Amino acid sequence: MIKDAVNLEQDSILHSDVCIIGTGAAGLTLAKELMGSGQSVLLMESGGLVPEASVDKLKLGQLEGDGFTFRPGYLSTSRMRFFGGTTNIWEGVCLPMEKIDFEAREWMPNSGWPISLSDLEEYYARASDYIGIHRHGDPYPENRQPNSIKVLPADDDWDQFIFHMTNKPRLGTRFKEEIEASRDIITYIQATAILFLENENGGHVEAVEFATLSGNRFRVKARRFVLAAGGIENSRILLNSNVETGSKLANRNDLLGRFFFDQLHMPLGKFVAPNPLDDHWLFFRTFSKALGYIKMGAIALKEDVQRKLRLSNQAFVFHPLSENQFKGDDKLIVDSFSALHETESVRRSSVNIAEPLMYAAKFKSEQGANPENRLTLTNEMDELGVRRLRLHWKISEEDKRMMGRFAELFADAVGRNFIGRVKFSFDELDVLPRYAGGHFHQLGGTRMSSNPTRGVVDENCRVHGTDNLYILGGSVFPSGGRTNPTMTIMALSIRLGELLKKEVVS
Amino acid sequence: MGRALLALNAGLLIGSSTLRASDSVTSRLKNIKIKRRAGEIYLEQYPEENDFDDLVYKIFKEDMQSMERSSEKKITDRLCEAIRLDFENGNVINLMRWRLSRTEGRYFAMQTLIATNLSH
Ligand SMILES: Cc1cc2nc3c(=O)[nH]c(=O)nc-3n(C[C@H](O)[C@H](O)[C@H](O)COP(=O)(O)OP(=O)(O)OC[C@H]3O[C@@H](n4cnc5c(N)ncnc54)[C@H](O)[C@@H]3O)c2cc1C
Repeated sequence: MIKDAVNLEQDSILHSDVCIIGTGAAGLTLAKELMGSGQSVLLMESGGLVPEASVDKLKLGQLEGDGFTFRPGYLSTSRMRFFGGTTNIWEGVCLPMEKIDFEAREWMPNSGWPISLSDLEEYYARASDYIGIHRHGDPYPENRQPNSIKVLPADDDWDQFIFHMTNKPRLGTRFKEEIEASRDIITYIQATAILFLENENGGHVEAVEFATLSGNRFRVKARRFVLAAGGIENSRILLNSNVETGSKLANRNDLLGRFFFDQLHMPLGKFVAPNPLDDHWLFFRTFSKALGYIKMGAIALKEDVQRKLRLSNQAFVFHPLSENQFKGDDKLIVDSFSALHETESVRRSSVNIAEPLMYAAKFKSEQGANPENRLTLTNEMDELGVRRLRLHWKISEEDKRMMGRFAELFADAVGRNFIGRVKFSFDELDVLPRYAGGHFHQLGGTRMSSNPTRGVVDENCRVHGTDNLYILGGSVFPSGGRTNPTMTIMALSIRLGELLKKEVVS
Repeated sequence: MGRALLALNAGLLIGSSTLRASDSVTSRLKNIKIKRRAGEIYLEQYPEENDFDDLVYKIFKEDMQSMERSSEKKITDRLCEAIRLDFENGNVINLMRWRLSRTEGRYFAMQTLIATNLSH
């Protein structure tokens, strides 16, 4: 059942076993997981069933730092406030994180999860089922299967893999009917969580206060609360609760809002291959009719090479460029290079080889977790009386250095293997921030650690020091790797769902 | 004459995918002109390498006389091997933002010197 909170009586109090705040990838996945569990669930959504300008205004805030030069609309355009959340606009690229992403690496300060890839494997499999990229029997089909044709030789330092993109990515649309029909779940739209209210001694959330733009206020009392309002709003609602109630909820060690990061996205430059890359390798998006979803090739350093060279986890993806982008000085290099590598036989028989192709190569890079990159509140209030956000976010010299090194390694690898040549989009690594921007993958702010002095939530996503509050979403990531985060967000949500069901049984 | 022979081989290598028998004289000339520019830029960056014989030796590790007797295949093999080793050993240059092997840069420079020589 889906209800509009505007119709609730002023100061009503709603009760449930579980209250989930947010209907994005995290909230919807958890709600789906709790269906049929016998627990009553209130699923609370700030927006409506379609986007509305008045609701959208609630997410505006201030940006600080050099991470935004590429994407000035970072706070407004990268988050959707209506049923389905940001999955209403996401691209649907799905990939589990890698083993190395969970490890504490000394050259990546503050890296490492308290859980490992193997703790999430089965949940990744179920997440891929939920988004429709699952092939029975495979945990995550074909991600790591060697392809017949590779860009670099198999014995090289490079790993080539395939991203999957679900072809029905709108999770709100995908799950709405089921959620609406569920007897256990009541969804409230137009219900914005504004305050968490702790008990007198702290350590337990008594209620959450909600507001509607029509002026309604009401509370939800639940046995357990799950905050799934998106990578940025999770921190904001809790910070606002700290200020308004004087509590230290989720913030006993001044970690709330800190260690914000994204995955860095910027053009490496152009990559030219004298012979067109074989379609089988899927250097760019290809729709697989047989599988029913889209695949996209990428290339990255093998994990042991990353360890040896002490580099962050990064990948390149490629998009074909049209030929007219390929002239002047570029044409000279391309012609010369391709001529050099044209095979003897082709030259002798004067067969016309295909025109060399040029691709735009883009980084997908892990960013280091830095406590100074953080979300704080301003004194300005939004329409519901919640303090607006300030996001301070910089790209560190070390991040830049690692991206530069990674770019050079790629250029040298394709060079020595006579696969192509790379033209960088920059002269000096120092200018990277002018181009680099986030990938719209907001991570950190309520990071996970088994140690309460180092993280906001524990390995089960429960807030340290509070017995009934959990957080889901990118905000719990202590490090992010290079892969798009939503599949991991969903895997964590399924895992939490299982835990909440078990707790009820016990 | 020796230089011209090497230049011819070099020309075959460097220009063959775009310069075909059917190509007009103008397009050939245009191609040569652009190539000269790359070589000029290389020589601006490395003025100490402005010496044809020295460039030949640096690229092929043999002097002009023995290279003149080389087959086209040998020249190609040598070039490819030198390029591979450059990338492997970090002997790379940044030419107009392209990451190229040092040998490639020298090769452009060689072309520039030949072209300048012929036009005089
Ligand atoms: C253009 C774009 C492309 C992307 N492409 C990909 C991709 O290809 N692959 C990938 O893995 N990821 C991608 N992402 C990221 C992906 O969208 C997010 O990782 C994912 O949506 C996060 O899920 P979430 O549930 O944590 O947050 P969201 O999906 O943002 O959902 C949060 C929900 O909480 C609600 N909410 C917010 N505040 C409150 C409040 N106070 N009270 C009640 N409800 C509230 C919001 O309205 C929203 O419904 C992309 C993002 C963008 C912007």
